[in-house]
Amino acid sequence: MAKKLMLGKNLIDGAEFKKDSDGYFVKFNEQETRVEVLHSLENKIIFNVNGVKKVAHYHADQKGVHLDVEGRSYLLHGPKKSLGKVSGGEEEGQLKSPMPGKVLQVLINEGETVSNGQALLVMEAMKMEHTIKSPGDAVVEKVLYEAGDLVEGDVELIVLGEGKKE
Amino acid sequence: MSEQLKEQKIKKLLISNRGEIACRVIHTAKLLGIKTVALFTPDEKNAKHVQMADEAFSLGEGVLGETYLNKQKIISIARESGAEAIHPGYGFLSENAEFCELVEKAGIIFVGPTSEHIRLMGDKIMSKTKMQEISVPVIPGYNGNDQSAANLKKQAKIIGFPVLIKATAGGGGKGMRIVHKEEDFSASLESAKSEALSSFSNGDVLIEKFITKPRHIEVQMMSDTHENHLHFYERECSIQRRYQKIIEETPSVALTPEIRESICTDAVKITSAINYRGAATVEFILDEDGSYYFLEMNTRLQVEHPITEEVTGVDLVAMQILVAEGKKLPYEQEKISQRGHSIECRIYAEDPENNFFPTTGKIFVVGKSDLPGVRLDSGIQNGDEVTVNYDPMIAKLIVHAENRGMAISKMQKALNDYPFLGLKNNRLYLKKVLGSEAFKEGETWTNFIDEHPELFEQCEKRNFPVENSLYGMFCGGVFKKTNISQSNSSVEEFIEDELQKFRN
Repeated sequence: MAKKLMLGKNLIDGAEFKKDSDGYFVKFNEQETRVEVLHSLENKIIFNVNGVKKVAHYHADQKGVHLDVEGRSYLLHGPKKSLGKVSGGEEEGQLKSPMPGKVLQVLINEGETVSNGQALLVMEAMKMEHTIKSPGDAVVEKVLYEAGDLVEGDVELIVLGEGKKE
Repeated sequence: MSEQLKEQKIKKLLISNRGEIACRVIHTAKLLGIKTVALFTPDEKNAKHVQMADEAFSLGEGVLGETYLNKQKIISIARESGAEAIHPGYGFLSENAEFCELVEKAGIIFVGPTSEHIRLMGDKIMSKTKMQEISVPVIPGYNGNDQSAANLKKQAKIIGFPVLIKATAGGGGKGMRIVHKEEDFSASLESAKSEALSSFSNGDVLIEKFITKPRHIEVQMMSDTHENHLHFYERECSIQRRYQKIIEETPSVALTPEIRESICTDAVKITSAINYRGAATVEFILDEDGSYYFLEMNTRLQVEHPITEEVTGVDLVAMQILVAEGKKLPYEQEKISQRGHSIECRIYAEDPENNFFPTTGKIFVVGKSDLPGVRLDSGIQNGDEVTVNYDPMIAKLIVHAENRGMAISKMQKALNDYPFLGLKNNRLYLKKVLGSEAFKEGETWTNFIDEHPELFEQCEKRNFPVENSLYGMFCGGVFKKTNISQSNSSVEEFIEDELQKFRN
């Protein structure tokens, strides 16, 4: 059983997954992990990763599962949601202006293929530079602003479409 | 002789602030049996400070100048509500001399110092001159009126490089430049002056010696109107990012008993000399050789006051209210002592992996801790939205333990207990700082964050086993759905449905 999932900015694709009486076994990126849920509470799970105890806080909504594992935050959701259709929020919101500011640089062109984590646009807001990065492998469908433009907060800057697979 | 002030019991207190500090003040007021009045803007109707208070009045809509900085509106609400006193918290109008005057003119008690105290300490040049008068050490520097470029350069050479150029009206690092070499001086001066002019409408600067391995040490003070000027020891706040503190602790590892005695005595000298009233914090910069210099005095309750409360066992807000009522402080200096070690971490809605850029959004789960000696001061509750309208500090996490090592471990655990889920925040970075050898060894200088870029890299490093296990638990349907309760499908199926919609 393998599913494609976005875990934060990273696509998990081609993982092997098995469930048995002791818990779950996952193999991904040459890494074998045995995970067992020790205790499950409302919004909180204590689990065992290859023998190391970890705590995760979670919350599920329309966007997916919001997770915090000891200070590191993730949003777990289906892969296509982050591409083409940008719906705000901290993870997908990467393609939106985080607050009012100015576009300093546009680093890509429409039609260009971009990879996960690639810098797309640099903007300045509250006297700080902020780089908008691609949340996955994709094709740039539209660039909505150019360098020098002033933008409002939470507006879409770039529209990405589905990248070529395999 | 101090003027004879009548004692006046405060029965109702208005807090002209919001968020965690409003909650903090209301908490103590409740313990003292004082009714509280909260203020709110339209998006804060359901805020924690409003829920906690006995009464709440709307400030209406608008920019800060029309709401939390609207002096007349706040005073008229105080009158309307019948509050005898106003507690300004920190920030906003807490160090605004005009507000203090207007409040007192309206016959309302200002829980804080007099407007003269605020004016004197709010002016960097005037306050430094005062320190020189009373022989409290100040950083070698020039703070005169001759603002000509030629004179300022001459002064910089007398002081000796490296020097720091600072806006006299400044704060928060604006209009501030470090100059290492004489040839860079003129260009830095020009840019500092223009930044100062645009930020504070005042282009005046001062120049001082730049200390390469500085620590930020501050002393908590409390004065009543009966000539009692007490100190509650030091706090070290050297871990700063862009001149904003992020981790504070007490006691400081850098103070020997002799330096501690000396720095606290100097702080008392200051509040006595100006016949101060209420809570204050005297900030010093400590050099490697143990010499220290007065930086400034904050005439209000400080953000990081809880760590002092933890080690001294004193409720500083209760003391502020008592002083405002004209009563004597119920302590003798000799009986105030430091017990154990306390650390505070400021949790910010910001992304340490992305240059500490502020983040906004909804917080689904604040979290809670079962550890003893853990205190969370926050104005945020589950479901609250964090916007760009206010400071990105969402909480202060405070721990108290027997010693520094135990306090560090406790803080690392406690940070796991409060995820503030839904919003990227700086907890992981705080944990990396606390876990670093340099921090554990007490090698904490104010340039700590710049000197340890590896701590950012550690935040970025992926943890495959954990990610794998999250994937595994997801596929196994472990994460229960919360607000998708209508259908009985798992999150996994839910997302499949969503994907289906997207495909159509």
